[in-house]
Amino acid sequence: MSAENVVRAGGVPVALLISLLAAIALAGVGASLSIGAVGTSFTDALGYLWHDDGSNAAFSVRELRLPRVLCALGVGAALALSGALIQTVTRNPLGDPGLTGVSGGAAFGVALCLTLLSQSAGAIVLSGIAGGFLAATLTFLIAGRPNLQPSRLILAGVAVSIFFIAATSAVMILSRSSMQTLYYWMIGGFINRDWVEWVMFWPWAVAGTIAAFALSPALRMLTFEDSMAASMGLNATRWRLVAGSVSVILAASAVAVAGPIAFVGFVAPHLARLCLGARHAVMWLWLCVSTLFGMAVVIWADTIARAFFSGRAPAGVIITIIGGIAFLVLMRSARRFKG
Amino acid sequence: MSTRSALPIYLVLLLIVCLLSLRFGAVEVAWSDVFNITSETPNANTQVILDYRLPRTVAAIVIGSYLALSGLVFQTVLRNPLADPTMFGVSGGAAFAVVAAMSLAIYLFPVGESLQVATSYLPMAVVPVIALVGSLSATALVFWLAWDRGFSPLRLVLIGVVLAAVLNGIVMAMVLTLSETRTELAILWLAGSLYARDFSNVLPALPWGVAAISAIVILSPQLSALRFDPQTAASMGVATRTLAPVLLGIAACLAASAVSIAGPIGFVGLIVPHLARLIARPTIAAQILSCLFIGAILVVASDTVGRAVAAPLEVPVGIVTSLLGAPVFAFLIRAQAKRI
Amino acid sequence: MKILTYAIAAGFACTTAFADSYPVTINDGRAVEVTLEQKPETVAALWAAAADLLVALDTPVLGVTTYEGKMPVYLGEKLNGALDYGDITAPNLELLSTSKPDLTIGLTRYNAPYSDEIEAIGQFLTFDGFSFEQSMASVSEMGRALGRDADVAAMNRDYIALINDYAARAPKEQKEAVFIWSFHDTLYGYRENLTTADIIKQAGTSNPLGRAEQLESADDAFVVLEAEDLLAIDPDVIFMFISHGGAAKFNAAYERLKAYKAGQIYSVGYQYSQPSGPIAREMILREVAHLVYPETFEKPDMPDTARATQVEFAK
Repeated sequence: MSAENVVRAGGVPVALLISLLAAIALAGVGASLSIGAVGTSFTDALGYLWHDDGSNAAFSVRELRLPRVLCALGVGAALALSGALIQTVTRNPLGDPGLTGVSGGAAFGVALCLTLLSQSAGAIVLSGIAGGFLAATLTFLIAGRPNLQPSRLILAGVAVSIFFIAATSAVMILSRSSMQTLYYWMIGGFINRDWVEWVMFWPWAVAGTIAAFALSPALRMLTFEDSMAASMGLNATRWRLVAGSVSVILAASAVAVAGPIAFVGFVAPHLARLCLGARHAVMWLWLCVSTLFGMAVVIWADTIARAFFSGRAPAGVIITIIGGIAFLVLMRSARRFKG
Repeated sequence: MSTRSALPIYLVLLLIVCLLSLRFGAVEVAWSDVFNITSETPNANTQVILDYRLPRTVAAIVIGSYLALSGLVFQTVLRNPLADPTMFGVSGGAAFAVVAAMSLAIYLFPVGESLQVATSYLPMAVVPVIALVGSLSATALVFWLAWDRGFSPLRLVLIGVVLAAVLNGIVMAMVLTLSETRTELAILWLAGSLYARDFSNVLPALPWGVAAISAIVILSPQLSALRFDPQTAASMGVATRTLAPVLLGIAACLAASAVSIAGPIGFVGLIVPHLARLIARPTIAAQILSCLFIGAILVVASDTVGRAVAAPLEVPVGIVTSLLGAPVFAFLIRAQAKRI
Repeated sequence: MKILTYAIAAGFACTTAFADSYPVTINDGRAVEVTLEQKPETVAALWAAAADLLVALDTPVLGVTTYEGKMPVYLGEKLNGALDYGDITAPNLELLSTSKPDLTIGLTRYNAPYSDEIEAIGQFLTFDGFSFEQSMASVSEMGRALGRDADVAAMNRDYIALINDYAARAPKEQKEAVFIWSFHDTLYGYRENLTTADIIKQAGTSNPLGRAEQLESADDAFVVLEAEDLLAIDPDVIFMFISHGGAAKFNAAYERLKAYKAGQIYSVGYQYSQPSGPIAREMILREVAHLVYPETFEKPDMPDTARATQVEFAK
């Protein structure tokens, strides 16, 4: 069956699904751009995007809300794509940057950089990515062959995660920093993020996203047995490594911006799979819908955090609670998790 | 190494770390003080050892041996060298219950509006009880979620890990949002600390622990059979489908009573069984014995390091075990993978 | 004869006062009644405000705790002999017990959960200082426990007089000042209910964050501030306590703030984080008044390590 045929096959029409998700995400963007302490109406807010009249309202929209919106969309997309890549590469439905240790490692890299090295944005994102790679390498070394046993990978990932969280705590204690700072950061959120974060984040996010979509034909092959992939002329191990690295870059750069937000990488690809049904086998389509889900979830979580909790509950709190419950429901209902 | 020759070595090692634990801390004491703690003329230093270091050392022994044995049961029954009871909802449930209680202390333990502002605090004496209830409830929830016309060990462990992740997320969310001013105490507990623990914290965990350890020892022939695949185990006359969850439940209770004393302490349940398998003879009896001792030695040593390294500040014991444990763990797993 | 009567009366008053002062029963922050049979000679201060009061009364401080590794340096040389008990949330019990305090004074929210352990060492009292009224009451109660009620009552009276004097002298045209506790990305603004913000208001400023009327607990008196919130309130002066040390995080919005343009965003000393003691409150009042209204109020005399400096942003 060619990709086009699959796209047209039954269920919710793909065009409708994609436009619906895009509309939800855009509504979140609109709401996020027009809500804030400096009062602006929706139309004013949109107007300020094109026309800067020098007022505080225009400044808020252009310099404070817009970069934050972009960060939220980018982080949502990066985490969702990263999760989808990990799930494909490891053939493990539980693949998630958090459960494979990548987020913990990136968090450690960022904390180490902030407390000991430098507070410059570029250094932060680089050490976050280095930490993410270190953690991913450790997880895969410990788990052995990644497709051996799903629980082995996850247990190894959780162990690596616990280690890096402990190491982060030790860094904070020994550098006499407040553990509360660490906790606030560990839950993830977008409070007071602006162009500085976006500038350090976007090259990685854009490169990672392009790479992920460019890899989709190879990813499709990776869902088959390795021997079959080899018969189609694909060096499965090499492509696994490439796709794995892309997923680490996406997740770690997202962590450097927003902290280790949990569950988006797991929930978004699964929701996409649920909505697409059999069509999720079309890799680019699945990636695309996952990305949109990730964006919509994160932008709305941040909007709700700002509008109703006035910053007391960062976006990460809302995502963790909703995502965690979704996680358990999916686990309870999904038969494929049976041992 | 045979069990008979290993026992004296374990005893000597445990004695050494215990002596170190009694010797080092924020207050400088002499070796003579350590050896004179039973003398009839206590001085200030022997008093410090008796009041603070001895109870902590005992608590560390109890916690270490419980967590390690519990880990051995988990890894044996699940036939998975990466299983650890504290990743399995036991720690997450305890953390959830304690932090929820700290947040709700103003409703649970109101102490009136002294000096105009309503104040409240969670007495540390009630924390172990709350932690125990939380971890047992979480374990029950894991079993309930995993029930699917019987238990599959793999499904149990996956559900356990996921529930732990969810609970940890919710705990972080609570720490941040519900109560800014109680955050630091919650964080200290969540790191796994023996700060201010005395015999009154350890005693309630003893009957549970002794009962669970006895049950595991009594069931050790069956545990031994469970190391093999279900068909082999069945041919040895062991009812895998009922026995596996029973043993996991007992082990979870054992871990829960350890977590109730000091909060979540990572990696002990994970690495000690590996060390035990590496050192001890491949019989369950030898491994149980090794786990009890190595676990105790590891936690006593970690607490000593945490107390002595940055005094008067303390690095919580849970952080030290994680830092020491993770590299050992990575090494062991690689060594094992190569052997297979 | 008359003189003799006065002398006897005075002597009698003296002895009764002395006899009456101990035993003293204190109802502390845990709502526990603690009876002190005699005057405590050695006092451990787990709460910085207790150390502050001891220094103000010229009494030796046995030991103090640190917050994020920092000692209350604003108390100056008088703390030189004091022990460091370690972090305020987990004071080192070994050090506390070997220092043999007759009385340990702690902070309810951090130290009360460990009452059993600390009571085994000596007598134990806890207090809180969320609001200014609570701080004043805590200081009085601590004074009673130390057998110096008269001196402490006088200190409190003098401070009230000082506030009234400052209120009278402050310009009629009030400037707006905000106190912010900075945790890297997260900025907590203090509303008037909290002691530090209340003292800043006593220096003749107004707080655009206002007062929380329905206060369920002290936690409700914080506001999480985003850069945009700062733009909306745009105060004349910002006092920032940078809790993690080092530089504060920069945000482009600061450049649009009146306080930033006027060079009036200050990084403040330890005393602003624990403002309840008599030395801290007066030091804050005098420093804030001087920084906000330099023409009216002279530069206060205080240790240089405790002085506010212009905030340095990490760019």
